[in-house]
Amino acid sequence: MIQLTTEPIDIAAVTEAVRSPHAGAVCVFFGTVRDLTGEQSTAFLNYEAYAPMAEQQMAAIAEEIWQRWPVLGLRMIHRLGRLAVGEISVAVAVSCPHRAEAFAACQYGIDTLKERVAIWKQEIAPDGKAVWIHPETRQ
Amino acid sequence: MLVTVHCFARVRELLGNIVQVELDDPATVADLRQRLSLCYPHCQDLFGRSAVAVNRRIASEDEPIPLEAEVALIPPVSGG
Repeated sequence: MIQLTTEPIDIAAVTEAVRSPHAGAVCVFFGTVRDLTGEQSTAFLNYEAYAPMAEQQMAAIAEEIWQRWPVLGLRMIHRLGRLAVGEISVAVAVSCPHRAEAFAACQYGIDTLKERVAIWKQEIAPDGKAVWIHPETRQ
Repeated sequence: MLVTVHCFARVRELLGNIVQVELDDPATVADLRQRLSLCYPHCQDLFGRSAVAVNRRIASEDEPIPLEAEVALIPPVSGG
């Protein structure tokens, strides 16, 4: 249900994994590597995790989602290592009987993952300059 | 007691994968912070913005650090 991987995330497989005959809605979020942050151009990203803790945190978020919405299927996958512009870094897929709850659960999943889970990105510019991203607000 | 602290991202870049610090037993998360700031004053700002995880859970300042605990510094996260 939750996974950290260095392999590319398979869009079709993630989507199929949550489909159900009882689900009228499948909501899928894919985070992808963007080429520009403000005026800063990105060549690629490196993602690093404190894997055992990150997995535990992702499992806790998944559990909260199961408790809060009528979820039929759920997958949360984060990719680690070097990712080129356009590649998928994270996937959250949720199926529910109706769309409102599927949207809400999916948004909660990605928002909470970004806010809480022990994963970090390093942006590498075309000139090779590398910067770890540590947002100003303390979690 | 000797506490091994796992480091990630910018902290790892500055200090390496792990650092080891000697603390009185018993010691709290606050004691660990104080010791780390003394040993690595150039990282003080980043330490101040980082959480401390004890056995893979974010710990409060007054929480004791058990012997053999898995301890990590968690700088502000940026996954997604």
